[in-house]
Parts: sequence; structure tokens; C-alpha cells
Amino acid sequence: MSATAEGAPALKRASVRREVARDTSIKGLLLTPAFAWIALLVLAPNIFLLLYSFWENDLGTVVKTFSLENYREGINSEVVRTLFTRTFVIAFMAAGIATAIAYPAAYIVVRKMGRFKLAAALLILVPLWVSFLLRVFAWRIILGEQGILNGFLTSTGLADQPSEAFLYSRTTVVLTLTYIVIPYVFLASYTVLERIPNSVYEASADCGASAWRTFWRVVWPLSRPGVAIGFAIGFVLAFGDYVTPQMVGGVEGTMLGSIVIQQFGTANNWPYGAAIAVSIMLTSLVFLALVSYLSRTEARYE
Amino acid sequence: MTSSSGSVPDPVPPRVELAPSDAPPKLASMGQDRSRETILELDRVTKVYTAGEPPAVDDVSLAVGEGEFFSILGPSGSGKTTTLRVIAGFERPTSGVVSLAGRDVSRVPPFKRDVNTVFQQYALFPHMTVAQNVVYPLKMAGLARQERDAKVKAMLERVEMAGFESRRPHQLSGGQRQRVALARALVAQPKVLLLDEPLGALDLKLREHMLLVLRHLQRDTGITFVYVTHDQAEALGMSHRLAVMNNGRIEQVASPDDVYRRPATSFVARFIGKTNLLECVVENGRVQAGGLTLQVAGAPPTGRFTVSLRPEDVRIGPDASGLPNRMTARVRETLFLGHEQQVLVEAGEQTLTVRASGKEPFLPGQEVEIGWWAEAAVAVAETEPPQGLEDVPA
Repeated sequence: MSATAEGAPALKRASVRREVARDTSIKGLLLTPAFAWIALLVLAPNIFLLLYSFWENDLGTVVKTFSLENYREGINSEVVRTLFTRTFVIAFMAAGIATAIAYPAAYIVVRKMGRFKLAAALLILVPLWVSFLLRVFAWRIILGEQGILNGFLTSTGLADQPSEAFLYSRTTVVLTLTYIVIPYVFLASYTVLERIPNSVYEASADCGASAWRTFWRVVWPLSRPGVAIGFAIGFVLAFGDYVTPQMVGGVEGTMLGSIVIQQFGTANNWPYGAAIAVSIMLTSLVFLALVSYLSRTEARYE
Repeated sequence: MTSSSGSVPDPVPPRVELAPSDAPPKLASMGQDRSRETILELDRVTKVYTAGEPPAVDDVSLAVGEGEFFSILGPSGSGKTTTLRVIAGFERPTSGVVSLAGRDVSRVPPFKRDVNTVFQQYALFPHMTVAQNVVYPLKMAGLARQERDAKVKAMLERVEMAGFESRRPHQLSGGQRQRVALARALVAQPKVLLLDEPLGALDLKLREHMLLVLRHLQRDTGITFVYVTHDQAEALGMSHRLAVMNNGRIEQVASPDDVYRRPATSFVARFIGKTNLLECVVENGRVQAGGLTLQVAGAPPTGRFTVSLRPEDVRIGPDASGLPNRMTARVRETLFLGHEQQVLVEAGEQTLTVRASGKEPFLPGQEVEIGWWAEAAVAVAETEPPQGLEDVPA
């Protein structure tokens, strides 16, 4: 009798274990395509890039010996240091300005647009449907010598002749990147703001908090992590970009990405280009981690 | 329909009151409680959300006394929550005036009103600890730190949440969140505490416990409670007075006892407890209802009207003898409930639900005597059933 009493749970436990193991293996099987996809398209190229950055360059030929020469060269190069700082400042400014515009916009859309909320959100996200290149090009059309702005200024008599000053400057790069990044920051802000239930706003008002205090004590802490992610994504996008500086930046607006392109292209120094590319990625990663750490809020909705 | 409906009571002119000593006992009316100062008053408040659609709150007037436990009871869509939101300041009345302690607050934003709300889904601040949630209203009021801390501590002890100060809402059970929400709403000692179906999300056992907690809190703090619910048992059991709402209107404001025993309208009679509604017409000075001649205390002299007759007020079997309304009926069905049984009987063209003790068996087809006091049948005004969601069993 005691044998059956002890035997039954043991048997049950074994079958439960089998069942769980079977479940896990099925789940693993189902996830395989996704993992393969990531491994092939994300992991592998980055590993190659990393490897290249530690190899040497001999007049355009890659020599597969390990060295830190590429990184040393980059750190010692005045040009790279200047461009790194400039790129960092430009990306930070673009992401910062974009956040300053997109977050209030998301707040207004979520809280004040009522039933037009979704339509308004889509309207702001529409640029994402247009090719990145076209979005940058649009600013050339606006700011170029034959552009809309110059056309307006000359035809109204505000300027005697079209100016070249609007295009090919650092400001233009910041402006264009800000524009590029806004939808991303908006999307991140919108998502977190959307999650805050209306009753939480009401509870705060009920407790005697004005709209202003409700914002700073409740809405901001609850939305801060999402906004920060939006800001960081914006920064990362801008930090690694080379198309925008190339199209609207001129010499003054050159960024770090331009060097990478150059090294992989005309300079034909892949290891050096890879080292700079890896530096860009590492900086982005550290930045992302730092921002999300600093902005964290411990909150879970019921 | 049945041959046994021939037993007609002696012809007695209507509107003759029975001697008080014979009448069933009545509890003192609390319908107009004049012993309290009015703290909250709604004067002809109407709220229309969408022009052209029926108002959510339709011409509602109320006066709630200081220290009162006042409930607003109604089915979903009856306008009870909107009424509460108008009091809290989340909705502006389309017309009408809300006064708090004699001051018109109709245009005062919620954060400047001396009322606090316990929300249906608690609405705790998810990023704050229990202590931070409870101290929030005191911070907003600008209290000094020491005073704040003392009040939070006392309040958390009062709702049995001491020791949970540093937990966050998601680490608490539903009942605990509920108590934190209560503490947050009460800590600043508002003039009026509004509760919007606060127990709706709790399971039955917890609900019964929280009912007691709420009642004790109300009694001990002396703060006026306005309690919105669709649960008649909660409203009857806890309130000094209650308002019954239907289709945006208040159908009756009275003590629980009065609402139950003297429902003003057919809706109230049906929504609260079980009842038999009989349509009556006065013919030649006699009240007729579907083949029966009735004695109804306080019946109008002419015309049609409806009476409500509670199943437990109908006596059945030997108990029915000697009652002014007495007749023979036929048992159609019985439902045994243990401590009692529900007997469905047919009398004249009427089908009545009667409550009887569980001891005596009644068999379908059996002929029985039934009877009731003239006061047991209460004349009620006929009102529309609730629009939209049908919560009331027909």
C-alpha cells in the first residue's frame, strides 16, 4: 500500500517532467527560424566587422594578424577625435531637440485629441513610410540655392539674391537629423503615455494636484523610461548616419560615418573603417545603456 | 382561470385604514433626515455628453447630510457614476449647481475641491510606494513633513496596512490595493468621500470583509460617504439613506427600510428585492386587479395604478386567515431553498410569488389560502425600465 502511495507521485513527477521537456523542445523548434534570421543577418556581419577591426591593412590588402593598431591610429588621429566630438554633439542636439518637440506632441495627441488621436498619431508617423533618402533630399529642396526658402525670400524681396548659406552647414545637419528622428521619439513617447490610465490623472487631480504638478510627479516619472529610449534611439540613428551629412552637410557638416564610408570605399582600408564603425556601435550601446539606467522608473501597471 | 377564485373578500370601501395595532410593524422613516447639516447638495443637475442623446444625468437634486453614509444605487447606465464624477469635478454639469458646504463648486476643478474619490480600479500611482501614494494628497496640501508622516502612519494603521509602506501597488493583492486607495482618499480628511463601486473587483469573501471595514471607517472618521453601487445588498446594508437611480433620474431617496417597504416606483420595487407588481384599476370604488378585488391602503380614488407586493408579505396556508386580503389560489410551482421555499401561485388572472417557510410542503395543483395586509400592497408610480443594459430580472 505504501509502495503505491509513494510510487504514484513519482510516476506523476516523471511524466510532468517529460511533458515540460516536450513543451520546451517544441518552443525551441518554433523559435529556430527567428534565431537563424538574427544570427545570419545581425550577428554574423557584426562579428566580421569586429574581426576586421583587429586585422591589419597592407596597402589595401587585409592581413589577418591580430593587432590593436587600427584603434590606436583612430585615437591618435586629430581628425577622428574632432569628428567624434562633433558627431556626438550633433547627434545629441538632434535627438534632444527632437525629444523636446516629439514628447509634448505625443502628450497633446494622447491627452487632448480625443477621437482624432489615432489619426493625429498616424499623421506624425507618415514620414516613416517615405524612403530615408527622400526625406533627407526634401531638405535640399527646401534649403538649396534654387530651393523653396530662397524662392520665397527673393520673391517677397526679403533677400536680393538666393543664398547658399542655408545648405551645407552643421546647423543644416542638426535640422535634418532632428526631422528624421522626430517620428521615432514620438512613437516611443506615444506608447508610454498611452499606457497611463486616465484614472491615474484623475486620482492625482483628486488628491489636490494641479495639471502641472500631476505632470511632474506622475506623468513624467511614468513616461520617462519610454521617452529616454526614444531619445537614445534618436541619438543612435543620428550618431551613425552618413547620408545626411553627405547630402546636406558639406565639409563643415562631415560626421564620423563619413570616415567609415571613405575607408571602406576610396581609401580601401577596411580594417580601419571597421575599427571606427565598431567604435560608433560601442558608443551607441554605452549611450543606450546609460540613458535607460538613468531614466528608469520602477512601475508596473496592475 | 381557476375555479377557486370565487372567494371574494367582503366589500369594503377603499382607502379605509386598518387600526394601527393590527398593522404590520414599520420602522421609523429616515427619508428626510433633518438632524444633519447639509454638506453636499445637487440642485437640478443635468449632464449631457452628446447633444441629441438622452442625458446621462437628468435633473438630479440631492442633499447629503454631514457624516451621512449615502448610497447611489442603480443598474449600469443609470447615471450613478456620472453623478459621482460631477460631484468630484471630473465632469462639468451641463446645467444645475453642485454645492459643497454651502459653496457653489460647479465650476471648481477637482484639485481644488475638498472631496476625495476611491476609484473603481483604485488608480494608485504605480511608480510610488504605499507610503508615497498615501502621503501624496498631504504633500499637495503643503503639510509639514512631520505632520505628514504622522498622518500617513495613523491612516495606514487604521486600514490595517502598517508594515507595507515600502511596497509598490503591483506587489499587493486586490484587497490591499483597495485599502491603500481608501487610505489615500481619507488621509487628507475630505469633507466628502466618494466611492465608485469600490468593491466591484473583489471576490465575495473579501467584499464582505471590506464592507465592514468601510462601515467602521465611516463611523469612526465621521466623514460623509457617497457610495455608488449596483449591488442592492451593499446599499441597503451600509447606508443611512440611499438614492435609487434609473435612466439618469433619481426615482427615490429614502432610508433603506423605506426604499424596501415603500418603493416609490415600479422600477425601485423591482430593482430592490423581489416583488409582485399588480396592475390595478379602481371600479365603482373597488380596487380590481386581474380578476381579484383588493384592499390597498392609500389607493387613489379613481384610475389605474400599480401596486408592489413583496413575496414575504403574502401569508400562505392557515396564516392567511383573518387578513383583509384573502383568497384561494392554486399552487403552480415550488422552489425549495432550504430555510424557505418560493411558491408560485395563481389567483384570478394573476401569478404571484410567495415566500413560505420550508417546513410545510406545497404541491403543484394544490389549492391554498393566501392573504396579506392592506398596507403590504404599496401603490407605486409606473416608470420606464432601464434603457440599454437590462440588469433587472423582468
